[in-house]
Amino acid sequence: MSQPSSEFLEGFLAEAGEHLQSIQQNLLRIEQAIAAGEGPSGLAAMEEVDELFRSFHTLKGLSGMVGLDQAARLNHAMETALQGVRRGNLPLSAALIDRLIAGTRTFEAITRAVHQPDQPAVAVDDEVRALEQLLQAEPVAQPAPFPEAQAVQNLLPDLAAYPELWSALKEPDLRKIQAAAQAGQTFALLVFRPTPEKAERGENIDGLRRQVQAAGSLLKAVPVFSAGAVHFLLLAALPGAPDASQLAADEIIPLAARAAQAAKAQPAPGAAVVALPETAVRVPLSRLDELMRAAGDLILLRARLNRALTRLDGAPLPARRELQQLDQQFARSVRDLRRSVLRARMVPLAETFNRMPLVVRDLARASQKDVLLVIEGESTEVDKALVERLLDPLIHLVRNAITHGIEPPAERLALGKPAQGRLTLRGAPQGDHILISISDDGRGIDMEQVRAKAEQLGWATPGAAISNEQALAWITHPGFSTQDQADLAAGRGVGLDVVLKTVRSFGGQLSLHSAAGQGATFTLTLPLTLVILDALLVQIGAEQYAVPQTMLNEIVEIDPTQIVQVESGALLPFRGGSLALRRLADLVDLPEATTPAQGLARPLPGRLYALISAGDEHSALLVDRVLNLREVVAQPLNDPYVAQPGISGATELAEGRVILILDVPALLRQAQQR
Amino acid sequence: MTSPQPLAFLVVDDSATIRKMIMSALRPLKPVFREANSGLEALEQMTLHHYDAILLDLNMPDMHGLDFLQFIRGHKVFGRIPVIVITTRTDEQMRATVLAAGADRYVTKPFAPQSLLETVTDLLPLSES
Repeated sequence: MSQPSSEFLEGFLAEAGEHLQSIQQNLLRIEQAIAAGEGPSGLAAMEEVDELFRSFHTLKGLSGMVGLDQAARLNHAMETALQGVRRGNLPLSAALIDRLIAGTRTFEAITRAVHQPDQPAVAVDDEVRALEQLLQAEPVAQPAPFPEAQAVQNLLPDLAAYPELWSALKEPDLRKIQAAAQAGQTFALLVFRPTPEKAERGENIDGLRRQVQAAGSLLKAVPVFSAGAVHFLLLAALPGAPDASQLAADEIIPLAARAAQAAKAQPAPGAAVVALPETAVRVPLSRLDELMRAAGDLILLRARLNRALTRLDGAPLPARRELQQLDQQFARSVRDLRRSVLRARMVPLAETFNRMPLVVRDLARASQKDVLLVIEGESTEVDKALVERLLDPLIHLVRNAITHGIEPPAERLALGKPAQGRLTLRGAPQGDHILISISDDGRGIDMEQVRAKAEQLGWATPGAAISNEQALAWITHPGFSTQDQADLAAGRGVGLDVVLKTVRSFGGQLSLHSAAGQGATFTLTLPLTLVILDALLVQIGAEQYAVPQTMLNEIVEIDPTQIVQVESGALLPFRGGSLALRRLADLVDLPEATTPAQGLARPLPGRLYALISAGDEHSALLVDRVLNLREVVAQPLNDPYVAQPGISGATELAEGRVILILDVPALLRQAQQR
Repeated sequence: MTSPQPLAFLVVDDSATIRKMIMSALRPLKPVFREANSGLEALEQMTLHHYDAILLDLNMPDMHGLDFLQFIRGHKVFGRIPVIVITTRTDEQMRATVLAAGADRYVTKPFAPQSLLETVTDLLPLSES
């Protein structure tokens, strides 16, 4: 078996990913149609069948071209099955859909294994054999009678005036027209004449085709040769009257449809389709990374320029003023560039959310529960690097919600809840952050069980009240998960420590809100970008550090004489409560010479600044000075040999100095454990 | 002496990756490439530009490669442009149908880049004269 050729591998993976998304959506839509009781002819006529056939066919060719022969074999088997459906030899049954979903999952595993050559090869023999068996089975019942061409001619009499279009219509097209008519759609003929002027304006047949697909569906498109030139005729089915402003055609001719039957209820749509805008370019993420680095260099240059300007204070005023104006303009341009590059990296959350319907379907089946997945805010955009790393944590949380949170239908009915459980996946922007929440209407976290377990482990004092934050901290601790699988409520701990670690690894936070018997909501708060940050420069002694603004809640100037030294550390009475203080100097192990090391009992410099951590308002870091807020380009420290918990990266300052970027919440957590 | 016009190739396939592979294989000929992802787009391209050869996939949305081939062979205005069909269909029946419809060469996927290059190069001296 040949090795996949690496040159085209990334292109293959990107295209395969897009096809997989489309395949999964189509399979789920067909499954819903089967469950809704659509008859065989209605099913075989579905556009989804054609799209699936084409997807598997393309994937077969692509897999072969990059040397993935087993994948090609698998896709060929699935393509052949769909071909059988289109020809009417093979009924679209739930069993067939199951096999296709399983086959798709196997193909997905193959694509993931591409980057792990030492893993054993994914086997496809079982899938291929199962599909072949289905094809050889007795043809079930008569294939639905194909509508006579006459029937369609009665339906759309005007079509007869366009012989090139009419003669190009084949059986599947006629069935699609009937299905569209039954659904109460309107029909229109669009005429498009390509010219060099239109091509220059970006108006072309491909664009019109996409517009029609966006507005409704394209039933047929044919070229017509007349008067020595070619023009195109498109037959479209639309939900309402054609909107000329959305369709760049030369002519739009509505076609009268005769006595269409009552519209059937549409099956509930799956997650929103992710469609690239018309003039989109696929760019490798590495190229965007290069752009970010270039933008970062510009930021640095501008900072250097700024410093050089301050040294000119003695120069004559007019010269200085002009330079300062230029500097400000430069700063504005650099900010715009940075924003543009950030936006180029942004992709809709739908990329990740769209994988969930299949996950939910499988989990609900396996645990014999009825779950409705609601997705909101999937168009919220997030950094591409983030969207990929979100998949695993989200799947974990969804799995927990379904297996432990949502009750079996009988139990729900007994509780007065609808038998169908509801799982809501929501994304929303919030300033500099993205909020992603997974909400279920199940049992909620059983606080008593959690407390009991925590007491058992010696983490909680008996009788103490526990908050959502405390419960979350416990159940995400690696030691918490219960061995006993039957212990459902507290079993939420499974996998949560990994979720928390992943979320934190990209500077995010996890929070929990739960109400007993009503359900639980996990919320992830994520930064918009991982690379360019607004950071606070702070100083301790002679050392400077950068602290990302997103990790801080507030900066407070404090009077050192107010600090109270207690057994567990230092406390500051603050706004009716108290603030546990930690010296940054202690946490980063600075040498003695720069700051006094003997706790806080010694006299301190006149003023101190407390940086109150985001996510824990009762903890703060003490620093000597707060310098300024500036944009820094973060170089992450990912190498496990070098990485330290509490240090999230390094950055180069204008002066050429390299300073460390601190992960304040991590440092404080570490300190609490000492 | 004026420098010769570069060759112009139209690459028709609904997969961007396959188009890239075809273009990569033919790069030694230093041609100008234009791409189309369906028979309709390919026809549009043919009304706007001249091409020295067409690399044509068969199974494409909205207009099958075979229909496209029959269309351009059926109208003299397109001239007798060399057409190389590149497809996953390996059956003899399709091959015969496609060649009968007027294709000059029939290449199956997966193809070896060198072999595709040779196939195309063989066809071209006819149009250079």
